[in-house]
Amino acid sequence: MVALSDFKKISDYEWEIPTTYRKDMKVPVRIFADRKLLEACLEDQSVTQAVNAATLPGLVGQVLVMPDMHQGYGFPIGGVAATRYPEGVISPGGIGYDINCGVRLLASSIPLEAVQERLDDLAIALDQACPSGVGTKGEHKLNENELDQVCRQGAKWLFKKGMATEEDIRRTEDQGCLDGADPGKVSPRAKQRGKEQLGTLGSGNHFLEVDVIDEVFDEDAAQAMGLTAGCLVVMIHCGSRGLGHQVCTDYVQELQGAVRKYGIPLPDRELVCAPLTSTEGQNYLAAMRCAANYAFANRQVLAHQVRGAFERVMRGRVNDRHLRMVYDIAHNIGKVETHLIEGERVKVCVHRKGATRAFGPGHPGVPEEYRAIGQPVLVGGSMGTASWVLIGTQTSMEKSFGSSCHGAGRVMSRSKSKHTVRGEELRDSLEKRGIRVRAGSMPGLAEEAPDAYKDVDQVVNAVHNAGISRKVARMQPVIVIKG
Amino acid sequence: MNRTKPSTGYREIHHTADIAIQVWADNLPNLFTEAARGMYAIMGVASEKKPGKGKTITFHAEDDVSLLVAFLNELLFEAEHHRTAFMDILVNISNGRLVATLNEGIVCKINREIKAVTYHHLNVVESQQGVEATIVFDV
Repeated sequence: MVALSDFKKISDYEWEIPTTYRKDMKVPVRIFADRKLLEACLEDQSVTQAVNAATLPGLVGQVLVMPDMHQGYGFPIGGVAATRYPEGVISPGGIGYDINCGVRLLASSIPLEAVQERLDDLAIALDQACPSGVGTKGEHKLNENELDQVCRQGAKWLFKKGMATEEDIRRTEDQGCLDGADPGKVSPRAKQRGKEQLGTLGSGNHFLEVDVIDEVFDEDAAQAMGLTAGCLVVMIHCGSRGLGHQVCTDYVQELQGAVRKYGIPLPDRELVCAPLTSTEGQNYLAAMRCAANYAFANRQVLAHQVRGAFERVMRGRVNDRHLRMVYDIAHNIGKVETHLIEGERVKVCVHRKGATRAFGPGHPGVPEEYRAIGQPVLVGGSMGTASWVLIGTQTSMEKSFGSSCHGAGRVMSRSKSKHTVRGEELRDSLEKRGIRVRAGSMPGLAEEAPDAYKDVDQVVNAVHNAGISRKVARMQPVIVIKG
Repeated sequence: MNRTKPSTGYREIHHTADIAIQVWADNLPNLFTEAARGMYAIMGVASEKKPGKGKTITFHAEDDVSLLVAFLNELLFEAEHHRTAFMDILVNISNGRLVATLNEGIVCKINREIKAVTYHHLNVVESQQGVEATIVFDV
């Protein structure tokens, strides 16, 4: 177990475990956190998992961990690891089963007080419009050819179908479509699972929230994103559904053979990987990109369905009912990017598992309208607590491969959470605070109780003070839809 | 009171974000059956027997861990996609080959989605009871 004394303090918000800690480490582990969050991380296996990740071949810089870190499987949640391209490896376990799980934010100019009495109807309409729960099927059943197009084109396929605007596409990470996706590398079983699930939320920690912006910290950035204090926004958190889970399952299994073939010693079999240039690595990359594109498309369909629900409920109440796209980001993904490392421009494969891309101002990967301020970073809170909009900074480009935190981060196990509070009790207490809750399962709701998570404000303060993101606006929930 | 641990069983153990179970049995085939029961319990699967419906599944793998992951992932897919859960699971394992004979049931309800069965620190080890394993599920 790692102890506080094993860390070298870099600053109040950066802590490092040097490679001398364990002889198989290829690079140090660097954690962005205040002392209290760091101490909390030592309660579970997350730091040991980061040390394990630091043994992968071809790593550059450090394995980075965000302040919302917690124990996962293989990599910790909140981990960022970059391997040199093309000499390094790619690890499906470093991306996770829910490939391109991510967050989309839509903004409105609807003041909360203008529609307060419509919120119950809005909660029902959103719940009906966005199917959630275990194995839920969506309205848009795809045939084989359509599924292949979704895998290749992502959200852009929905633009052709009239379910996305040009602005939606422009304001999605990588314009909602990763190049190099090859549906031929996706198994028939993964496709079978994907055909019926487009436009569904799923379950677990996935959610759809209507929030109100309660505080703006950076007026210029908020204005550029169309965020106004007191107005409603919608946050959609979900991923690639069964298709993505199956792609990761298939390749974690397949790559068990690859590590033997390429002689890669691993401290944990969930860290299986393959050289980026190998057939196995290339096949996984092509399949993972399909799943990522499916997830971009999934959030786009959900956004389309949310807009329909808003239109139906708000008609006659407010004139401007349009929900404008703010941004859509992935937080479980592997991307080939170029970063400046020790003064040298290096092409790397950045694994982000429970971490968000946070490109700084001027980066060509940021939409033109945001290029002066930096890329929006969307941080989902726990149910009943704040969510945040941040922006990427020059420091994130220099220190964290252009990455930041993705959420609050769990501190309590699901079983303990269920024993601490009953779902019905939790729903009632949230409703007393003016938060309408629609949940598929009461035990599932109890597992996601706010107390099961870290204080999201403390997490955001840590990345803000470390300089890898900057605060723009804070949002409080008024409607929560859970699977 | 002197309580003896049953020869086969499972129990949930601590994991911050996902779900982990420790499974034990007197032999390897029973460990697989018990792991399936544990997984269904985590999922909150409620099912009804389909009279006369049986199925045999076969896997090959390099080692017991890969066999166990493949077996559980198969059951996961069947539950989520075909709404089928299996009862009266009979497992045979020999030379890296698993043959499972299963009676099919119709899934009436699943309370929790499991995204995948992971390899995270998964080892099948000998124990006082026979064999045991700790399995982490991504939920």
